[in-house]
Amino acid sequence: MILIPLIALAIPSFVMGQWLIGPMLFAPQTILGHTVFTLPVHDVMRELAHGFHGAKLMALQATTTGIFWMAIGGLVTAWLFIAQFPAWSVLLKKRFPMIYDILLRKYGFDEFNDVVFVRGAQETGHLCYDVSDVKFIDGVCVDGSGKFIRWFAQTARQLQTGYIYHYALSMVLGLLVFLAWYLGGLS
Amino acid sequence: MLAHFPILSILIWLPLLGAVLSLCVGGDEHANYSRGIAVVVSVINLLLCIPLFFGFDASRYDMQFTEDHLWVTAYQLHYALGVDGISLVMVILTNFTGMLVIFAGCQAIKVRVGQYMAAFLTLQAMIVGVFCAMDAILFYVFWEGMLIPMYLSIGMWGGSNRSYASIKFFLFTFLGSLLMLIALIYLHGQAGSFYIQSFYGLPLSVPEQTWLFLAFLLSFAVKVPMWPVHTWLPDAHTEAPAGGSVVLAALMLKLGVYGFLRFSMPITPLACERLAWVMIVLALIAIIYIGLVAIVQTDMKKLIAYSSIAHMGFAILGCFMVYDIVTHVASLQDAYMSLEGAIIQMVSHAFGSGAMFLGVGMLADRFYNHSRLIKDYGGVANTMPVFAAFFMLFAMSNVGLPGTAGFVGEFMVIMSAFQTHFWVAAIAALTLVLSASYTLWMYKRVFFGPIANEHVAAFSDVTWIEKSNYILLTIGVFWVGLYPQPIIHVLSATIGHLLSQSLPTNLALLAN
Repeated sequence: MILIPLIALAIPSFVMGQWLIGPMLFAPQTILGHTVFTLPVHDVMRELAHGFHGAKLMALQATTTGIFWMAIGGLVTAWLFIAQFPAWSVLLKKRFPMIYDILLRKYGFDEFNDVVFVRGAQETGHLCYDVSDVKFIDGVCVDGSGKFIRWFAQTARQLQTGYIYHYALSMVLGLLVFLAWYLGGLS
Repeated sequence: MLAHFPILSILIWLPLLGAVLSLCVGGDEHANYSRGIAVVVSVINLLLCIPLFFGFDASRYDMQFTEDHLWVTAYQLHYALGVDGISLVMVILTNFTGMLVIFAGCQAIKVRVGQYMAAFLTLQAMIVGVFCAMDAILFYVFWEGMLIPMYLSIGMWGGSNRSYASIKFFLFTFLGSLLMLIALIYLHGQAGSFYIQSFYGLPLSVPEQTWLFLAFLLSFAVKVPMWPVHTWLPDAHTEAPAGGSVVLAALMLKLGVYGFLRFSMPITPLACERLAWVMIVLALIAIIYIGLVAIVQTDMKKLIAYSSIAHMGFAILGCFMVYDIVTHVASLQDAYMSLEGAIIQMVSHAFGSGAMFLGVGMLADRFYNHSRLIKDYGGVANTMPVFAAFFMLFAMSNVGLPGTAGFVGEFMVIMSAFQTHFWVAAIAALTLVLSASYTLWMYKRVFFGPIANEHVAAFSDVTWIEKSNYILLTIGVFWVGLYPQPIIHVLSATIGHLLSQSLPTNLALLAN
C-alpha cells in the first residue's frame, strides 16, 4: 500500500525541478515575481542566471563538483555498511565506542536541552510558584495582612476590660497627653 | 434610525430583565423556563449587536449611539452611554461570550438553575455597562456591580475551596477599586463634571497625574491582573464554575486593560510617559515569570489561568510601548500597530482561553469527582476524539500558531516593540516558547497516551450543545486569525484619537 504514494512522490520529485527552475527563478517574468528579492550589490540571482543554460546541463555540470561526489560517497558508504556488509558497522562500533556513543546521542544536545531548558524551566517555575507566589505574595502579603488584623483586633480587645475606672483612667491619661502637647506647642 | 434607538440601554437592561424573570419562574422544578429565558435573552442581545456593528461609523472617533439622561440631579450624575471603536468590539465580545456561557450552563448546571442564569445575565449586563458608560460614576457602579454576581457564582457553584477564593477575589478587586473612586472624585473636583470626556485634557501637573496614575494602576492592575497582584485569579478560576471561568478570562480581565485605555492613558499622559518603563517591566515579568509558573501547574484550570495572565501581559506591553515607539522612532504607524495588537490580543485571548476553560469544564463534568488535576487524565483523545480535535485547535491558538487568533495580536505587539527595543521584543517573544511548553505538555498528558483509568474510559464525546459552542468559537479563532481587518477597521479612528490624547503634546508633534 505504501508503494503507490511513494511512487507518486518520487515522480514529481524527479521532474518538478526541471520544469519549474526556469519559470520560477530565471525567466524574464518569474512566477515568484518580486518574492525573491536581493539587493543590487548582492544580486546572486542575476549571477546564477548567467551560468544557467537549462536543467539538463545544470544536472550534468553538477558531476564536476565535489559536493555531488560527496553525496554519492555518502550513498555508497550507507549501502556498503547497511546492505552489503553489516558486520562492518558492528566492528566499527566495537573499535570506536566513544565516537559511536557521541554520534548515537546526537552530540548530547538532547540531554543538554533536557537538563538546561526543560528541568531548568521546571525548577525556576517551582521556585517562582512555591516561594514567590504561594509563600511570599499569598502567605506573607495576603494571608499575613489578614492575620495581622486579627492579631491587632485581639490585642486591642484586651483593653476592653469592662471596668469603668479603667476607662476613666484612660480618659484622664489622654487628657493629660493632649494638655502636655497643647502647652508644649504654646511654649 | 438607530441614532435615536436606545440600543445600548436595551443591551444592558434586557439581560437584567431576563435575570429577574429567570429568578421569578421558581425553583429547579421550573429550571427549563429559566434556561429558555436566558437563552432567548442572550441570543436577542447578540442579534442586537448586528445593527450595532453595521450602524457604527468607523470613520468617526467620537462616541456613537449615545444616550444621556440626568440621573442624580444634586451631584449632576448622568446616565450617559455611548460606544467608540474599542467599546464596540468589547460589547460584541461580551454578548458573544455571554451567549456561550448561557448555552454551556444549560447543560452543566443542574442545581439552582434560575439563580445561575440570573447571575450570569446580570454579569453580562454589568460588563456591557462598563464598556458603554460615559459617566465616571455610572462606570464605577457597573464596575463594582459585576463583582456581586461573580462573587455569588464562585461562592454558590464553585469547587471545594470556593469560600476562600470568592472572598479573595472580592477583596482584591474591591480594594483596588476604592482608589479609582478617590481618583474619580478628585477629577470631578478639577473638571466640575463626572463625564469621562471632561477629564481628558485637564491641565493636571505631573505630580497630580502621577498620583492619579498610581490610583488607577492599582485598580486596573488587579483586574488585568498584573504581577504581583495576580494571585486572586488562579484561585478564582480554579474554584469558579466553567461559565465563571470563561467570563473571568474572556471578559473581566479585559476590563483592566480597557481601564488603562479609557482612563490612565488619556487623562494622565505625562505620568504614563514617565512610568511606561514600569509598565513594560511588569508586563515582561507577567510574560516570563507567569509563563514559568504555568509550566509547573498540576491543575488544568490553574495552568490556563496563569497562561491568561501571561497573555494579558502582552496587551499591557502593547499599550505602553507606544510611548517608547513615538519617542524613539517618531512613528505613529508603529504606535497604531502596538495598540491595535493589544486590543486584538484581548479579543483573541477571549476566544482561546474561553474555549479552553469550557473544555476543562466539560472534562471535569464527566469525571466522577470533577477533578481538574492533569494526573487524573490521559488518553482522552481515544474516548473523545472530536473534543480532542477542537481542544487542539484552541491550544494552538493559545500557543500563538499563525492562522489562529492567538498569533495576530502577539505578532503585532512584538513587531512594534521590535522597532524600539530589540531585547523587549526578544523577551516578549519568549512567550511563544513558554506557552508552547505548558500548553502542549498539558495537552500531551491529558489527551495522548493510553487511557488513564476506567473513568476516562467511560467518557462520552461532546454533545450537540458543546459542539455548537465549540464551532462558534472555532469560527472566532479562524476569523481573527485569518482576517482581522474588520476589527482593525473599526478600531482605527478611535485608536488614532486615543493616541492623540494619550501622547504628551511634544511627542504628538514629533510623531506628526
